[in-house]
Amino acid sequence: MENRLTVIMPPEFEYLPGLFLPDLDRARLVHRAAVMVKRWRSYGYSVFLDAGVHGLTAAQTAKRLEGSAAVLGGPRDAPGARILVEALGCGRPFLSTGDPAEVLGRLEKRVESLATMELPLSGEVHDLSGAFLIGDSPGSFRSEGKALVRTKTGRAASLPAWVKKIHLVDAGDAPPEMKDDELVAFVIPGKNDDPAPWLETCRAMERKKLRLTVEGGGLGLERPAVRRLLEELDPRVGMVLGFREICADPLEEMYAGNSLPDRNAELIENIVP
Amino acid sequence: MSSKKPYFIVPPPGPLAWLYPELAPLAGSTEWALPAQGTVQVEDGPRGHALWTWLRQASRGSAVEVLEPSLFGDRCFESRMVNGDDRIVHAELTERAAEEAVKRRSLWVLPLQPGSRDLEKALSTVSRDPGLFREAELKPFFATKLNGGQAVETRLLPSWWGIVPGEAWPEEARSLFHELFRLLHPDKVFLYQAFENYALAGIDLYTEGLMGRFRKSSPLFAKKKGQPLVIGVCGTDGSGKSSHVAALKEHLISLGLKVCVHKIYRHGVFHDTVTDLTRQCAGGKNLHLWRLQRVIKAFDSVKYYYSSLEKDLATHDVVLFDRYTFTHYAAGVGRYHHDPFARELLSVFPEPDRIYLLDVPTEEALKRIGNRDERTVDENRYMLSRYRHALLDLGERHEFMVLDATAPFEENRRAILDDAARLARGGAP
Repeated sequence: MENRLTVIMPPEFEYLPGLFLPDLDRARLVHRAAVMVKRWRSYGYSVFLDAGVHGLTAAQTAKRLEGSAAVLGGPRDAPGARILVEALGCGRPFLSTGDPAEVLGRLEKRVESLATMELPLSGEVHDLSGAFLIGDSPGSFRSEGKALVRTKTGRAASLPAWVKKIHLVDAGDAPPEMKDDELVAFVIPGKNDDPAPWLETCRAMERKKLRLTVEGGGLGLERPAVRRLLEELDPRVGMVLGFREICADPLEEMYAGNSLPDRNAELIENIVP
Repeated sequence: MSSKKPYFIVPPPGPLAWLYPELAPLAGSTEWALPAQGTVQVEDGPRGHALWTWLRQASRGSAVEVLEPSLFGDRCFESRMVNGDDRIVHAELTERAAEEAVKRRSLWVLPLQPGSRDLEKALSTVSRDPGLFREAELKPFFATKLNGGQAVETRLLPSWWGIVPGEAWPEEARSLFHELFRLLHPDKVFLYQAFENYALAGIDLYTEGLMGRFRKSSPLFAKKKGQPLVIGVCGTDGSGKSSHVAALKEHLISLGLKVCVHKIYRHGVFHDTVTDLTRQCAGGKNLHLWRLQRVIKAFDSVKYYYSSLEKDLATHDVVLFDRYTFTHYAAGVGRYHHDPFARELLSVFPEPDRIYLLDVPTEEALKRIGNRDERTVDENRYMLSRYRHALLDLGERHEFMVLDATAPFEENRRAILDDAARLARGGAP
């Protein structure tokens, strides 16, 4: 198994999966890695992709891995990638994280060196369910007029059927002008950024998503159920911002295996009878 | 009771709908603003109880009367899930039912009843073809009402209903549910576990959210002209805080200032109680007691504020702190990742003018601690590392002056004294 290589990505940490779209930049990266791995496999190399979609902690992922691993993550995956690298430990060979383009380039070189070893094809096929596929062929989705988006399975299925265009919105951006069949993907602000504009952007986007805007910019208050959903954003989004305020990231903690019962056990061990 | 027409409130969807957002639209209509006077009725159900608690506090001193939720029957979506009303489907857990659910795009829920083999059976069935049941978006949850309508009593906070099993389930139910949930919703596993973590820690994210405790807590008492300079020295155990506080005090006194030193985070206080509570939580049992550790510590600091600190803030030029409120925040992060309640509680303390963070690598701190006679439960590699990172993160956000505690003492002392002297002369932080 020494010649087996798994390209492994940390999961996407999303606090508000029901409210906002996944990170499309990351989805593109998953797709690029998937295309690359498929190509390598078609040449007979023992290369696999784990896109972090199986709900496993970093330690569980490391335990299941065989052979060497390469950690791949986008700019916003850095915390998860760090946890993953720690879990992989010193004994396992892996390629460091960094600029995704650079890592992918290094992976290509790595596979070229694997090719000289005449690896046997293991026959395994990695499950890529849950990944977005973002291709370059014409489709029903467009993002900023460039990349074209189509969905496959898993989370992508939650993309509303009426969405025809996706805007990427960063912290502080004003809500873009959108038509009814358009949607946004949010880039959550960095921890030193003021979350207020982002929150306001989120709310504006939610209004749009829920078809709340009417001519003249007012709210369609004749829809009490929809109005209720807007109000309900407050406690939950406030919670997420509260986590960010003290730099706590519960999803990262869980990925790192820091659950309460485990920590409890650590402290118990430290109590001198 | 008021004779006026009651104001009826349906609570916003809570953690179970955060996990399964598609359930949220099943809740009834909601009104949020409290009327100036009159009667408020709250819908029954777990979230209703949480909302009722908040409303009772929010309406304190007003002319609003809040009626208990139990008066108004079952209308929350939780109840509908158990009863299978509306467009929620309860069907026998089979592949055929899953195919039907996919075809009809129905909301398919699976209430797990205590005292039954529901969980084991579900895991066995779903394991045969996880992809199919995943596509059917089956939503398992722990029922708090039996089929006959009888409530299942647990010590869980109401709004965590459905997320974690109470003591009515055997202990291994949590781990079985983890695997079932992972098979069905792999993309939400960490979200689920984060919720479970807070539920087990006795933290009610729902009620905390309603109360606005997640928003940045400002000090209750804004700094006024004439108030003393407030300086804190923070760092993990073994970073050399006390030595620097003593040196700083001496220096400031030499400048003719009236200085006092306080420790608001008292290590020894309640140590036995906290240790005993930790023991009682061993093996994942009695985890509802876990949170008391932090509450005890936070309350001790508040008590200290009123008994010893308040008067010194009014009579001194400089008040020095050996640790400050940030140590509490770091402890919350270290123990269970977030502690909004402590943040609100500790807002009695004034905003500091400067925090010096003495940063020391964990291994070095352990070496220094190793020379002491007795260790606390937190003085181990894991917890010290977590505290250190939490303090560094807080330092970045709150603009601490971070000092390398492994540097020569005199070097750090000089940096602190120069900075503090500048602040004492009225310089900006």
